[in-house]
Amino acid sequence: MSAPDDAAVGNRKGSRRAIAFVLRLREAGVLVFLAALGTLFAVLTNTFLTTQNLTTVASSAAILAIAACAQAVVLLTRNLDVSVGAMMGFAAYLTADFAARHPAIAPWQLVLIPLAIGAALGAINGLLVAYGKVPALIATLGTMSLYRGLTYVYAHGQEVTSSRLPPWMLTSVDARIAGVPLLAAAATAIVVIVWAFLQYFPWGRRIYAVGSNPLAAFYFGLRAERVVLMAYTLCGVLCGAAGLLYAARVGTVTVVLASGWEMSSLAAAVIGGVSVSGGAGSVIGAALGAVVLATIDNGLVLLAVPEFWRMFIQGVAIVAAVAADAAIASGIRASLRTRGAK
Amino acid sequence: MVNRRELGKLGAGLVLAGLAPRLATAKDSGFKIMMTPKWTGFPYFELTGDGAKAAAKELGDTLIYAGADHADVSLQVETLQNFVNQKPDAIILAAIDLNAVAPVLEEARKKGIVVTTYDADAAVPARDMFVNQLSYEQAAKVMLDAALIDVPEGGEIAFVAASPTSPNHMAHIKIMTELTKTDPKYQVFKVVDTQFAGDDDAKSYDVAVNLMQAHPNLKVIISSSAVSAPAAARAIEASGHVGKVYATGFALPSAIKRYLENGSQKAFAFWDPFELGYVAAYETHMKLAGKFDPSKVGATIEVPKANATFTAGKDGEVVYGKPLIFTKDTVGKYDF
Repeated sequence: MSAPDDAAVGNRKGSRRAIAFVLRLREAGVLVFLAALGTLFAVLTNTFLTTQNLTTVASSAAILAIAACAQAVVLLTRNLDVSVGAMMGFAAYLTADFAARHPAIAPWQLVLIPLAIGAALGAINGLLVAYGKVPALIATLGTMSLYRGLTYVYAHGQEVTSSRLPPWMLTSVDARIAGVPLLAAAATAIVVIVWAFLQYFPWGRRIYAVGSNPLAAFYFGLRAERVVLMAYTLCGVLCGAAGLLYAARVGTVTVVLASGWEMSSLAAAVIGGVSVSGGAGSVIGAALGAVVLATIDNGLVLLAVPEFWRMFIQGVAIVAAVAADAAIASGIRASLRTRGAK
Repeated sequence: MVNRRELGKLGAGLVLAGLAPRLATAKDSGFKIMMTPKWTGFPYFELTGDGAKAAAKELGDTLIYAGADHADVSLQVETLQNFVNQKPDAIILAAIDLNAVAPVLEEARKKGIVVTTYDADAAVPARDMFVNQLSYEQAAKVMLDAALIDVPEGGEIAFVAASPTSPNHMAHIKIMTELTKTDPKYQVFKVVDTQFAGDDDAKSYDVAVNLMQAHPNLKVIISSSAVSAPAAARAIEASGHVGKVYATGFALPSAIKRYLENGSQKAFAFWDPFELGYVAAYETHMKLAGKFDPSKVGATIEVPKANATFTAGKDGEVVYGKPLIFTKDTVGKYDF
């Protein structure tokens, strides 16, 4: 929420301060959780806090952070995209296959392919939801199967192996700039750009407006359809980028690439404080949510904890995040009532 | 209201339906065989399917190869249920889970359908035979042999399996762990960890990276999963552990060619998936034709194309048993 919104909600001095605090809590919550996890693992193991291990966590979190950012953009409009993994897989497979057939392609040209594919797939989702008025869950559930199915048909039982990819694709994602993995740097840059777009550009602000109060946005003269279409398209572009990085990172590109990532991206966004009821949270929070999941994965292996506890702990984190979200919402409603009574 | 004549017809129909499978076993070709891998789209399973189709074509059978596009046990049960409804003479499958597929397979067997597992077994009462690519002992030894090529002086090793209910992976791990304690040849190794990656490439990559963080003296990551082993090789290359840590286990030559050729890895193991599929379909056909009874320990079957005679062991297990080890010099010879 922007500053004018805060002023509208909290006219008493005390409540304004309280609300400002609560609003900041969305990202504060995930930061506190992350710090607690970090402290826990640092105390329990002697390897967690090493530079090498932390850069490992950063690389692991990077691609999920982009996917979570993609999911968050759609969540902010009070919608949902469960085709995130399928879009990543489709863009990654077609791009990797193209690169394998045209090894001489320039890196900047290759990068445009997944972005364009992602934009097209995202736009289809957006058209279905915004103009077709199909509920977001159903529409993207359909396109999830559709995109994955197309990937399968296109691949025809094959996979793109690392020996067929241009070597620069693999070496570039392994690179480090001043000790920072390029993958983590790229993800940070992408997330910050999207955050700035949502925060400071009118088109970005409209995503928040439509998500937080569609009716008010309508009376204000916003065309919600266009905003939702844009959010889905942006989500698709980000999935294209994530898919390309995923392909380069793992090296072997199969038709099942990133299956299940619709749920991981959703989990990361929710843990990061993005509200499933739209309009609240930020893509930076979503990216931090991805870091939380990567930290849990890493820490539990360091501790030699059976991996099924990871699912359990991830589940606890999601439930806690949603409960916190509900508590914040009721807190805001309560403060609105006190203001009305005065 | 149902009159007596209609009841009679119904009864006759039921008797005929009951006889049908028995009649089918009397013929010796033209069988309808349905086959499902763990998941379709992965070159390894596609090759087993191609091999089975080749055998079916030679023997005059029809073979339908189908399945879900990812390894999901409930989808596999659904596929098998669809198969059973289409009344084939036999079903061939690579089971994702030992027990989860058992009820539907038992139902199939009750209807007279011959059930063959290959690659990964289902619970013994749920199938007629298991065409095992390598005996668990052979598999464990060939993977440790590959690890010895990587690090002759030995050291710490860790395993990556698909899941704790993945029957072959867990059996391999158990035997490898025992061998490192009992067999002098392998006592140079010390098992330090086992992780699960669900045959998922990104998960395998992350697990490999985390294993290297958790165990600074780790020498070899061994996986029976043809998805996890190449992903571990990639993780070693990407995280700058080349020369310090090796990945090995089962992998398709195409997936690990790069790492063997650039010298970051030394050896992986496998078998010929086309021939495995061929043998599974061939033996299933012979069982249907009444020429091979896998339930009799010691029953033999000659498969001319595979240039071998196979013997039924305990619990209907027929071991195919031809391991291959790929190194830098040999990997180029294989095109799968």
